[in-house]
Amino acid sequence: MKLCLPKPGWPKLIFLMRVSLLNLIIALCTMQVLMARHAAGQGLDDINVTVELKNEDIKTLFRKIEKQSRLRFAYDPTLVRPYTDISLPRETRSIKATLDLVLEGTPLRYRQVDNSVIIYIELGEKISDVEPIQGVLVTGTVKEASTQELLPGVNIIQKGTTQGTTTDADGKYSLLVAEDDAILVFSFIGYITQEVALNGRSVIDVVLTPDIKTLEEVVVVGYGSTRKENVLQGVSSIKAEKVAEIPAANLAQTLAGRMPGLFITQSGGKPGRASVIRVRAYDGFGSSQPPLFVIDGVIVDQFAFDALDATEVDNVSVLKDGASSAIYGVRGANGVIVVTTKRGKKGPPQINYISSYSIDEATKVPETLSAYDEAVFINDYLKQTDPNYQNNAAFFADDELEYWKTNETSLIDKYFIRPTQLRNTLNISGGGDRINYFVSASHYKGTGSFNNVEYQKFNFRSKVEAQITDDLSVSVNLSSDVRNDEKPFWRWDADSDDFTDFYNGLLTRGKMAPDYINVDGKDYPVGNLMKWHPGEVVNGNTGYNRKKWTDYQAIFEVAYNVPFVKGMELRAKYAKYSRHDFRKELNLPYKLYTFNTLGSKNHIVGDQIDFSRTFERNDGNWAKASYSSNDFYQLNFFVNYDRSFGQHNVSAVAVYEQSETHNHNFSARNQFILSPALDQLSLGSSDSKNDFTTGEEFEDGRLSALGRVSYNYANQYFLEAAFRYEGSRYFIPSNRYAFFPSISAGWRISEAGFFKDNIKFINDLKIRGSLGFTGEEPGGGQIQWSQSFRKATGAVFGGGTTDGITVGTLPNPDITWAKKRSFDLGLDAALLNNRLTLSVDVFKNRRKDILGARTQSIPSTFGASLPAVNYGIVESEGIEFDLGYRTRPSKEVSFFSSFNFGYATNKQVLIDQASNIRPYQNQIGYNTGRIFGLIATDIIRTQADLDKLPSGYTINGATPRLGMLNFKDIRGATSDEPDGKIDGNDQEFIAKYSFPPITYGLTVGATWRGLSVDVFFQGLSKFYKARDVRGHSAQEREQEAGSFAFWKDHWSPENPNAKYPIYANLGGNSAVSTFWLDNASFIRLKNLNIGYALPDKLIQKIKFQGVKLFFNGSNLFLLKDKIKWYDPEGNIKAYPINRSYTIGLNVTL
Amino acid sequence: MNVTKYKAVALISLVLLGTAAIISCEDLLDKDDLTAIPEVAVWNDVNLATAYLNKLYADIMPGWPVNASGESDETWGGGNVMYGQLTANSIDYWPYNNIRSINLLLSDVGKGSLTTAEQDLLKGQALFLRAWQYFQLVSRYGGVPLILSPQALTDDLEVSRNKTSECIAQIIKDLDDAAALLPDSWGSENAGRITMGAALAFKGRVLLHYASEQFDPNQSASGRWQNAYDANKAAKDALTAAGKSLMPDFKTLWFIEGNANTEAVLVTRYINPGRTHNRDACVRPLDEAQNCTGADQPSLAMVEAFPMKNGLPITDPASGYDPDAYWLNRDPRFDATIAYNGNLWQLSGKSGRTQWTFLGSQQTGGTGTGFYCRKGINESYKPNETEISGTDWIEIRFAEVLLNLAEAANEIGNITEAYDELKAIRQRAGIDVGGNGLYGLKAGMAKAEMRDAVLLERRIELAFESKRPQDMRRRRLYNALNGTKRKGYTVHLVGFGGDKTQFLDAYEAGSVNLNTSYTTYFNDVITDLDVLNAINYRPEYYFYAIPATHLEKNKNLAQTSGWDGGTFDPLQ
Repeated sequence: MKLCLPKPGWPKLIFLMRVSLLNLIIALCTMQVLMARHAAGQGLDDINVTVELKNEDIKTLFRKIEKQSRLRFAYDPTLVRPYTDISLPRETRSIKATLDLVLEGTPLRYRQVDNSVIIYIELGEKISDVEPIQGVLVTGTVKEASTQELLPGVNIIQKGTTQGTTTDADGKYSLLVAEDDAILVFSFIGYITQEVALNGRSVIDVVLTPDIKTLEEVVVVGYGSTRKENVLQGVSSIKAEKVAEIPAANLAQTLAGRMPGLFITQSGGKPGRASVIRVRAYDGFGSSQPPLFVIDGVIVDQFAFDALDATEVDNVSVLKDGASSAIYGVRGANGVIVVTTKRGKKGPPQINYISSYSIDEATKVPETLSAYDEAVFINDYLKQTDPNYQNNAAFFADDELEYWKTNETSLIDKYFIRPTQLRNTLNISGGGDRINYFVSASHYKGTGSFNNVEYQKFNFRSKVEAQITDDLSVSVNLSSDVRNDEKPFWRWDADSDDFTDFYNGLLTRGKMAPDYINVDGKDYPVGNLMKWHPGEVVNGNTGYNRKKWTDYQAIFEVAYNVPFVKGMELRAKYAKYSRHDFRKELNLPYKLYTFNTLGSKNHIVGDQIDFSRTFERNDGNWAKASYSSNDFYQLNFFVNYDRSFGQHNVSAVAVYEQSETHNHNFSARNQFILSPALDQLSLGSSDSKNDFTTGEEFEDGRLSALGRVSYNYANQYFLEAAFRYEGSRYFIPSNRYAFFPSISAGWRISEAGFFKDNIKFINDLKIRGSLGFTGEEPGGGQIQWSQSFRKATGAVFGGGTTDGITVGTLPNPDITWAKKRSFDLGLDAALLNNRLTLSVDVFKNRRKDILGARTQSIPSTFGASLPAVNYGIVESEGIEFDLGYRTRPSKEVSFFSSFNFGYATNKQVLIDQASNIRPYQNQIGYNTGRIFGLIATDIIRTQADLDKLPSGYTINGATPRLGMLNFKDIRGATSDEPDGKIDGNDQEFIAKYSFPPITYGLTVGATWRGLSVDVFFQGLSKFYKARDVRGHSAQEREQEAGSFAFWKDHWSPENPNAKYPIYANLGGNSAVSTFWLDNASFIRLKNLNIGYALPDKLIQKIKFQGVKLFFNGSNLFLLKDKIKWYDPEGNIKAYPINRSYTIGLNVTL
Repeated sequence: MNVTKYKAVALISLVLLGTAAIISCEDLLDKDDLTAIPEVAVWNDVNLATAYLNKLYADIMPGWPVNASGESDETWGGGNVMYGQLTANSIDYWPYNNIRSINLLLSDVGKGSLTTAEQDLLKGQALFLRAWQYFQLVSRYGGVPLILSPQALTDDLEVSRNKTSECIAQIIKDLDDAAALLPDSWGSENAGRITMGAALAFKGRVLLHYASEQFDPNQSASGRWQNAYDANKAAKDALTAAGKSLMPDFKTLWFIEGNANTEAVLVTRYINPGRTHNRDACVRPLDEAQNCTGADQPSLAMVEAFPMKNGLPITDPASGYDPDAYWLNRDPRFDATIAYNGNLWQLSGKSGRTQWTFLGSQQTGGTGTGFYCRKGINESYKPNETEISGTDWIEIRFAEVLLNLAEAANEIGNITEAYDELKAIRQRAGIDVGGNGLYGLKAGMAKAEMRDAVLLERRIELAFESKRPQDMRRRRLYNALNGTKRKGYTVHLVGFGGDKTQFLDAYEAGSVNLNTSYTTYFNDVITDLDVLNAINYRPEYYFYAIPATHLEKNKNLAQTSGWDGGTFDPLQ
């Protein structure tokens, strides 16, 4: 491409330098100008940059080049300090041309090593002119550790003196020192400084290890990005590369535990199930709300975030404190997750392909009682509760008990299959001087723990960035994902991906009933006991529930460098997102067969079908299709300003943003389709009374202006302020706009002179603090400031079902946003030659005007559906730290480890609480999420135990019986004395947390030659779950339901010292109490990745850049688990979490 | 400037123009709530205002009382109430949301452009619904706060309980006002709406309750029975004038819908598809139903309460009762209400189907009492249709009005009138008129005897219609049950050595005559239905405690006396 010529009349190069200082530093060797070396990627003459300098220093030049390329400059600051007054006309040149222009006439030389440009001094040949000094002439070479190449420009100083030199182009040096016990200090930017004592030697060869701390790591923040060392707020970020090989249906799954302050839990393992994502301690009311999701600057939802494949993502940042999220205003209070997708790299096309296949299994399926144990359990219960138990139809006779010892059917064993995951990702990136591109495609397919569960995801992304003129660039970012979800239709689960009801039926179906019995070569579903059949559902005979989501996003962006204002860029961005959600349900009745029964109490199903009693199970008989579409656009105009004035560095951004949403949906259902094979709406009943249609529309819009100004002096003192001014339709027009400011400051102590000179083991140290204000809107999508009535179904009169209208929520014209104030204090440090990094954040937040309906503080005779009112106050606080250690002892070995820890809790300061309650019920002053329940004392084991109870003693109204759980009698309905009645008045807060306040993650990894191991442990601590045993304890309806295996050790006269009571639904046995409290803390090996990269020699033959084979294991085992009966991360009755074993291939061409 | 720059400027301009076209700031935030109906529109359009009322009907009017019978001697169950195991929080019925919606209609219906006639019809129905709601509250708790207009948040919301008498007075006033506004009948399109007669009949029921022992344990209040009599008399007269009468067939009256059902005074209508209930599923044997089981299984006492076809009780030696064929020659209402072992019950349209209740006869579950309830069960429904039943629920039958009248008449000494009403009921039931024209009723009954006779007639006629538990509560009859256990039959097959298959084959072949040789094949063993506990209905249960959740929100709400901390006297 033709370059644009500079305007005539501009001096080609104005270059003033002060040479006097230079002489002091120049050492006395000779060298040649090195030619730029072609390393991985391109050479300096391939990369074009557009740079302009006006009386600026040389460091500014380097920074500008860095900004436009992936190169980093390495230099001794003292070498370049003299060159402060350089001017260069705006022009696009290769880096080589630019550097040649500027460095011409100076002793400075440059050389490319990988992605670094090393600046060093051309040494003169004047050593012989200097008066010889008595002493030792030390010589040697300096090598670079990873490449083993000789390193020019390394500073060598005799410790405690000003004596020094630098290495020449061949990495050689010589230095005269006076004493033979002198210490030489080898230093070089980007490398770890080494001190070597001579100890009489005269040849010292040194290998410098790169300072692995990624000095120039870019962190994406709201509406921009910044370098890591400039971050002043509570922000965590991760490179998606780290999780690129983990197969997962949702991106969130791969990020769990990776960043402090980001809580991701997945309580069910169905592929495609959404995770619960939360940032820091939740300080609102009700269930915790997800953070805001932003992808490539566009505000989206979790569903869009979950669509992403890790290979199309460059970086994920979590904005945790108010100052970083204030720029997202009224939706920022719950934190913000900012994702940047990958962009093309200049250079020849690079193709990366990852393919993996996984086999999964449930981490833990709760065990259930065997048929025999179940029968004994039921008998033991009946013996205690029915004096006439021998006649009770549910009682098992001896011959039947004998039969169950050897006969049973476990549906879990039969229907649980190993899920599999197949993932293929392909991406291509490359670019020339003016255009770069990134194209990716991926496919994921996961199957479920039983048949007919499948989830597939296809992702496509194409990003093209073009430099149209020197000043103008455009980019187009197109992406699409298609998600297909299929599962059996199960009406009673309301479409939940946890299949709670259905899975329950599968898990806790008694083992006494066979599911199918083969008669004359055909399997007949058995309908003797339960009148529905999990097998028929699993096998797809009852229909299906299929969903297909198709999402498109297009982002167009134009950026213009304003030629007449230095450092200013204008940018316009238009993003369009559309989502199409198509669902189809087929719900079919099915036949069940009744068999004869055997056994002296008719409990055993025989093998003769009574065809006259064949019946149809019907949970509905229909085909239903629904469609919903969501159209959204976001429009932004940016003004960016970025400029340095000497040591004063300023950058600013101002943004206008508007967005609108329009959703519409409809669904139609037709009953009684002609045949199961003809699953078309149009083939249903012709009688219009069997039709059903509905539909709805929704519109939303918002308008915002926002901005941020950052300033730093000499990269040492930092100050930043940001704001957002935002209007939302959820507030009454007269009070619609809200303002959310933030301010942050930081001091990079390590840049201070006194520190730099004295404290060597700390390489970088920054303290920072921030204060930010964010908001939260009323949820639910409905306007609450005006009264509105809603359509409902009315009663039936002679003409049929009538239309109804119901009163909506009482309006609250004063409704406004909740306001959150966040303080965050942080410290970032790098120690021990940057091998050890540390980041600590302490935060304290206060959210006030929290929205909630005052259902407790308004008498219940008021009767209205109460609107959200701004009144609550919740404070939260916590600490997070992130500790990293990495070292590379040799070229072949590297080791890294990181540990993150988060503790967060909250305190309710003002909540909706009834005024006439008793002190023990008070929640104010305590954290949310405590568990309220009875304090179990013991099982009533013996008659003596029973006799000890006062007369008239009741447990939840029931007369106490042997085998029942007893509880602590704390108080009565009106008194604080025990009243001989165990009831709600005896409850206490029995656990502080039902949501983990402590989370941590530990990553340990090492590489040796081509072999790499990466182990990641995740832990959650200090929280409890109340075990849900209700309804699945003993039989209520004969053999239908099975019980969990722990019931085997239940109380009976023969087993008075049992661990568990007699039966759950008796007295308070199943009530929430300390008896059922499970300590859910756990440490789990979340991920293990073992990789082997084929040796270069091998792959070069096949012209590949890299070929890696890997094994990935997820959820392999629990190191700490106090529950045992079910996975502590899951739910005892929900679809289980999976462990997966993956093998894969990662190829780069 | 070179060409590229021109292009660039052109591009920028284009982008700006394009986006400017998209922007229309004034509309951006003014998005309507597209699913909302403006409040102001509702009171300007009689269709919308009627829809508002229709929803109140749907929310308030009672449905089939599945399982209500447990709190009586009709069946078993009734759990915590029957065994004295209630806690103060157990009974939580607090429909102040409905009351507010009614009050909103009453206060705002005139704000729009509806005609007075339109308003009156809406108000009449709303007043009835308010009376209904308050009576539901009062019969549970005694007096409750009377809120008669929609409160504003700025009002003093910490209201106190009104006296029971004040609440009853308000209920009566609302019903009188409603009756004055409502029509005698509605056109067929609106069949099912509240009529003047329904308001009067309900007033009769309310006053009957108020005169009874629940509200007046010592029967010391004056004039209450007279008021009850007057109201029920007025109701009967008004209903008769409006064409209401007993339907000719007791068994099928549940399946005659709309205005054709002359007995339905207050009805909740169902239709499939649309608004359905699952009572058929819950009551039928699980073999012929799905997803619900176990409701309304008649107790032995219920079975034995039915007289013979000659009207005499089975305990009367002259009745002709055969304990070994207890189903023979009974009051025809027995067959319409009770399914017993060996009973022809052609469920799911299965012609010739016999219902067995002996142990092991059913594949699933079975009845715990030895019996099933047949009342209101649509036999033609297939099992899957039982949970989407469209059978209407008749909350007030004309028969109840007659029985209410009989009871009140007897209490004021008008025993003859009581006889007349009972005879009418028994005549329709199909009981033999008898030589003395008394349909088996004892001649010359005194007040106390007649009281028992009326209550028995109610128990039989209105069995499983939730009226028996109301009667037991209203007349404080639980005391007689306390310490006892309800009974049922466990039916054992003894013929053919207990071999089910052989027996059924023989039965199919016609070689088994149960009418003559039931005991050859079966042994009906009387078993306790109350297994763990005997009945222990506590005196304070006649007025329940108000749950803590309501007291906690309002310090001025007093607890019902008889309960922990209770100071509110519900008898005042």
